Amino acid sequence: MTFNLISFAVLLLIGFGFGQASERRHYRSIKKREEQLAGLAAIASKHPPVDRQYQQYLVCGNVVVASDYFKSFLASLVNILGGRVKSFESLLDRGRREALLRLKEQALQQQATAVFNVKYETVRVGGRVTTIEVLAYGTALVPQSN
Amino acid sequence: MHYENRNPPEGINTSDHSPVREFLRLSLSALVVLIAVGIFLNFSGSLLGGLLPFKAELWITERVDRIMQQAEQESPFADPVGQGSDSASVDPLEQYLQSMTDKVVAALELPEPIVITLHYRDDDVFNAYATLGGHVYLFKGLLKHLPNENALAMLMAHEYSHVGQRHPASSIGGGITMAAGSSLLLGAAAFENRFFSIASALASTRFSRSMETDADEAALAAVNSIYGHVNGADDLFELFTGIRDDNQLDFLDSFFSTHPLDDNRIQRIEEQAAANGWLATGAITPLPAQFLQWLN
Ligand SMILES: [Zn+2]
Repeated sequence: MTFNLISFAVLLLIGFGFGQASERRHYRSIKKREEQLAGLAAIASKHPPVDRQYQQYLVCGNVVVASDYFKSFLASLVNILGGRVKSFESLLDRGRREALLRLKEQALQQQATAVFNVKYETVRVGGRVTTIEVLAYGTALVPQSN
Repeated sequence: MHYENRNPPEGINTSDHSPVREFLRLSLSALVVLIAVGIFLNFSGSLLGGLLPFKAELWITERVDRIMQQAEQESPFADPVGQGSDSASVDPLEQYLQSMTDKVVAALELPEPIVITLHYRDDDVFNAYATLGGHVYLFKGLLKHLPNENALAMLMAHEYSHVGQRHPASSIGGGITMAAGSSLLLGAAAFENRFFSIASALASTRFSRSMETDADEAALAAVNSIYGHVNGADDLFELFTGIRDDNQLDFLDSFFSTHPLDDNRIQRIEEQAAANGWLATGAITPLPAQFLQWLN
């Protein structure tokens, strides 16, 4: 019992320390790359421009983000008491933004000028600590050179 | 047409919150909820346990006894005082304890279906306790320190009053509902660990302060009706204080941790005696001369 409590506290502290640090680091990287990739538009619209002919490719951005023990514990408390799972909001926000960035990086490699019909899928993977996979996919438009 | 992604302002999809404050707020609320649920479970379990007829207690202990003997395990309910296998050579200690038990039970005027089954444990533990089915355990480690028969009568009367007032059933009833509740939270293992070990379930029979006070009260009345005075009854609690001060014996005994402070108990029984006009002085009845030899 005592051992359980101690290991619980240690996991909580590790989760808090490393989890918060890695989240801050991740957000810094996300914001920097969002500015770098701002020129490439990723749009939810299903209707691509008809001004000219485009090659169309499927592009995907995929990321798996783990929460930490601390976040998961907070979430499990919210499960009992109700309310907003604030600790997971940033997790999902990071997941979606990172997935979109990866999608854009892939589109850029194909010389796309825009990505249309962008959609997200989110899946929970893994065991004890909540881990999510976010997949962003869309249709990259590469102007046809003729 | 022109398309672009504008960087969203921060803090719309995420809540700006202090995780530590969130953690404290949630844990404290959860703790409050848990405590409230625990109190409710314990209370309702005790209430239901106390409503069980005494026959149900007997049914449980007899079944446990049979199952354990079939499994060739040592049953805690086996081999009570006064029912030795060899009736020709009845142990003088058992004989004495049984005759004291008869006196105390008569003085307590326990209601009809309640039967006391006394067990003497040749164990150097400073303890005595009562559990389901009227089974009461007296340990050598406590008996050998008793200064006189009045203190022994007080000890017996206290434990037997627990049985008479159905405290073991209440306590175990509360324990079962609490364990069932925690198994919802922690998984079934928590329940099994606690209740599939019979020995631990019995030893973990804990009585509340008010139960102890009630038992003391009934016990003192019984001692008064046996001896015509209550002198010597408080020797039992003096003994606890002395043992505690000597710092020699096992302090973790459940007897200590659950019973009210000795000084308060002594004061309370003095007040009770005064209020009822019971004599605080009178001849102390010694234990039989060979009592200590019998124990060893
Ligand atoms: Zn007691």
